[in-house]
Amino acid sequence: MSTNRRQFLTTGAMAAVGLIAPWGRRGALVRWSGMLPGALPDRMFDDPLVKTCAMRALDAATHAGASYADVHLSRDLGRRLLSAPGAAPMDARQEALFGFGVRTLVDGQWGFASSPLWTADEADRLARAAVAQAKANRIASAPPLELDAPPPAATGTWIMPVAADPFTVSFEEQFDYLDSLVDIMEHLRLRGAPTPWHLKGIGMFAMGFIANKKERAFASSLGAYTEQTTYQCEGQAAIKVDGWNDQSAQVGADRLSVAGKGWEMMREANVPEQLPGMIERAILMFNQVPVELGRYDVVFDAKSMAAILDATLGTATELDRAIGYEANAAGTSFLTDPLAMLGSLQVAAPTIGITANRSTPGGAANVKWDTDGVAPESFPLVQDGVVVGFQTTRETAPVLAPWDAKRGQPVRSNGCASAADALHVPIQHTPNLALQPGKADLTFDEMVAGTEKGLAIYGASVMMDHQQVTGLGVGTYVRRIEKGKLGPMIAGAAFQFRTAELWKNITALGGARSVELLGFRRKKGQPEQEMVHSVAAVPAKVKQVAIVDLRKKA
Amino acid sequence: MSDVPKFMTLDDCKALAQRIIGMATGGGETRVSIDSSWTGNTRWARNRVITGGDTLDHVVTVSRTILGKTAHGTTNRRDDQALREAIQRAESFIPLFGADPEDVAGITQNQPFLKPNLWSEATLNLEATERHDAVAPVVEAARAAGFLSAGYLQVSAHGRAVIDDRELARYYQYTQAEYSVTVRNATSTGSGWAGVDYTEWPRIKPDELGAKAIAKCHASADPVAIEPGRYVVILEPQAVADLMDRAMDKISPRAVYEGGNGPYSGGRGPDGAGRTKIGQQLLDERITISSDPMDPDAGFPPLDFGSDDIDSVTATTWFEHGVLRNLGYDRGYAVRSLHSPAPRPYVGSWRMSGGDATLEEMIATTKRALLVTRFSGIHEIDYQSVLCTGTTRDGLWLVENGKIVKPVKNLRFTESPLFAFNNVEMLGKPERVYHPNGPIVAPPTRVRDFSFTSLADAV
Repeated sequence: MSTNRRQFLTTGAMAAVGLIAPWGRRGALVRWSGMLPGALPDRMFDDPLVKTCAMRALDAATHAGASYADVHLSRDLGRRLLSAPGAAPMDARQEALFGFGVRTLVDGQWGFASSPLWTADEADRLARAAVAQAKANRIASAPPLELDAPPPAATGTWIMPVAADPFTVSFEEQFDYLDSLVDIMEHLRLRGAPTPWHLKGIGMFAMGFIANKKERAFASSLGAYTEQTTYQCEGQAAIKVDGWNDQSAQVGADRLSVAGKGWEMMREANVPEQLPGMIERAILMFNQVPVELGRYDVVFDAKSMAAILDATLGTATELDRAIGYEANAAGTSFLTDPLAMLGSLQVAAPTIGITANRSTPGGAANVKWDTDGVAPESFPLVQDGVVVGFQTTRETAPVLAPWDAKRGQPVRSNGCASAADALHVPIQHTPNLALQPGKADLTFDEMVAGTEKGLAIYGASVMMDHQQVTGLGVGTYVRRIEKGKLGPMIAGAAFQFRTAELWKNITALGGARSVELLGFRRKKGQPEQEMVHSVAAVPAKVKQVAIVDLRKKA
Repeated sequence: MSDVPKFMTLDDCKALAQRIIGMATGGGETRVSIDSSWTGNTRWARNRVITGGDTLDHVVTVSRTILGKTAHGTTNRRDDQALREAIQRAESFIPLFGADPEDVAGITQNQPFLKPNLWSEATLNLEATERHDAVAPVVEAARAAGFLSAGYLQVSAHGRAVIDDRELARYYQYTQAEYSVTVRNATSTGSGWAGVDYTEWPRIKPDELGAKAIAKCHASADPVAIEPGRYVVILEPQAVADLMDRAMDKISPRAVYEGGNGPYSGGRGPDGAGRTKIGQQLLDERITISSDPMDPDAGFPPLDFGSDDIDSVTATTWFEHGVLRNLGYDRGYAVRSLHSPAPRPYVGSWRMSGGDATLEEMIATTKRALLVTRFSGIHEIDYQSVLCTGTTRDGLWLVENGKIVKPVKNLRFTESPLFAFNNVEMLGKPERVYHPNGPIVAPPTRVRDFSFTSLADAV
């Protein structure tokens, strides 16, 4: 039994549960092939080839004719543990993947080449190839691309602060931790109220932990050289309740969505403390009443608002989408004319402010420098309900030059360039987003208490059209509100909305103490790149929300 | 990029595997999976190339099996240190495992390994300059029409192998090419799309795809709103593929055999064992859906790269005249429950039979219908019935009295492919669609009673 598990059991909320066998489930540690643990260098940057290759490729690219070049080297460590009660681990994988990418600008045209090899010859070859690509890529009638004014040349090292590097914690400890949830759940079930007669069983269903450590070296022909390490971790802990009629309900624990955190996220999530509430919710799911269609006052929890923000205004304010870069992939934006809309288009109630950043504590998109070498700052997207900003890179920022000139601001990327790894070309990806809390310090419960008749929607997920004009949302669960009190769960309720209408109909916002941070994965680009970011949001009350029956056909 | 090899040959793979097997000492079994590839792409938007480049990658997964337990370690480097670390990562997991009762890696099957020809030198040699030449005319045509084009051309070559320490070697090399283009008007009130993928680059006709997207952009401009509701729909082959793929991706449902839910589950028998719907009529009787690695127009590599099985993927008929004939399963299930060593993998490729009608004939013989280019943003909302929601995209038109009368605003649908393809009125000639994750051939199809639930007036 690992120390971690023992500590966890004695200090956790379920300390009373002390009846777990004092040995780890997984037995003794043996290693084959005569190798000892710890052979992986702790830091990719300890390898002198990293800087040598970066500088050599940079020289070769500028020598071959690039007016601007940048070089990216990456090492991605990945670990994936999935477990289920009473079974062998369902999945256990570890990987170490490397990348070396060279991006060049020649006569105002991008070129790119990448491979996993870090050698001097490969540095030369990639640089030459990237320049050749740039020369071949130019379409005669296309004007040369101009980047924004060069950012200050960044130099330095940044390591995302985490309490426990997930790759220095052993698998044994991590699996033991996940498995201990099964025991805790079992004891909770035995010691708590008996399983209601109409239910067959309650138990843990799936436990998992996914960790990524991303190391990135960046060098540019502007003189920048940076080394960054970030972490992105995600957990899973779901219970399942089975009925006698082959129906079942699953409930997942909160605070486990992808975040810029280490192994500590599992402990911070405190799943044992969440279990009683999860069981209660799962049981409620067996007593759902049918949906009554119509328009309702709806109190959305912070998680729902995070998902709504992410899918609507968070997506629509990606400048590359708005100007058509993603037209052949994920889609465009209803903000089709950014310059005409900035500062004038009302997309939300006057109380609404939305900002973006790459620095919020625990933010999955946190970096010190983006893949253009820009140090991102927090910036506004929506102020007083009006669009005032877009997510930009060095390539797209000049599109907004007239807007910047009007405000006496320099044309400057706000640092939203990213790439899945050095094998992929940098493009714009969503930074962390934040819905500003309301001035009155309201909580979700207070908003429910202040609602005469309505619905409470929890943990919504949202499906949008390809311009974020209209959407259909589904709560993980929905409860009726009557005279300020929560009523039964409602089956099959979905909310159908137009983006601007929903945001304009917000009548109350949660205060600063009701902020929650939720992580999202988003795919974009061709070839597709999956990136992560966080959204901080507060609960909100929205009037006149159209509630429809999700499964009802026309 | 001609100065380095673009992919690993069988000999390269064998040599690499031998090195790894030599390092993996201390007993047990070792299997090496290799996915080496070259990818060249050109991506454009706003009538200019926005990114384009070449990428090499060589992903090596080492699987170590000790006392019936298997674990994996992955890297994309081929130096000794990286390979040792991959072995170590696999081995460090092994003590955590209980023996997997379904681990049947010890069985080798003698079934012949299919060898479809999925190689094209033209695809392999489509370098940046040639890609530019396939993109520029489409961009210039869109520009000349006053439109903005965006698109993506990708070619790739792969050498993939699975080699174990008992000298079992599976190797397959193949090429892929894809081309897709979206054309939008300057006011964002019209949008057209076309795309396709093939093994052989010469089978892709960029000019035709460009012309189709431009024509759709023209014809879809300034759409009018119509009421959602039930409509007869004329689905282009792409729309058929987008929708039916949601039903096909459940064709390998372990849970069904084990008594779980799913569209192909027949519940439990008196003995508690899972029943399937095999033998039941689930689709229109004119529809047969099959997969065949040797299909000359929709062949695919005969290996299920996503699983530990290394048996040849064989031709399978999933639906025959609308009757569910087969479901997919892996080797673990086959050995344990069917006492047969042969898995029946489904790897995401399929061909749907059709009829003789052309799209034009379908339109000409229709009183009132909506013509659908394709669907976007499809989400499943009910697993059991495969009820899905999503929106139409890049061209939706009202057809009345045999003629396309006007473009209409996009709509959100709530519909199941199992319902829609049971309500078939007419089937056309099947053709290859855009689905780079595995070839799909589908016919244009006229379907009645298709359910549109709300307006989705994105363009």
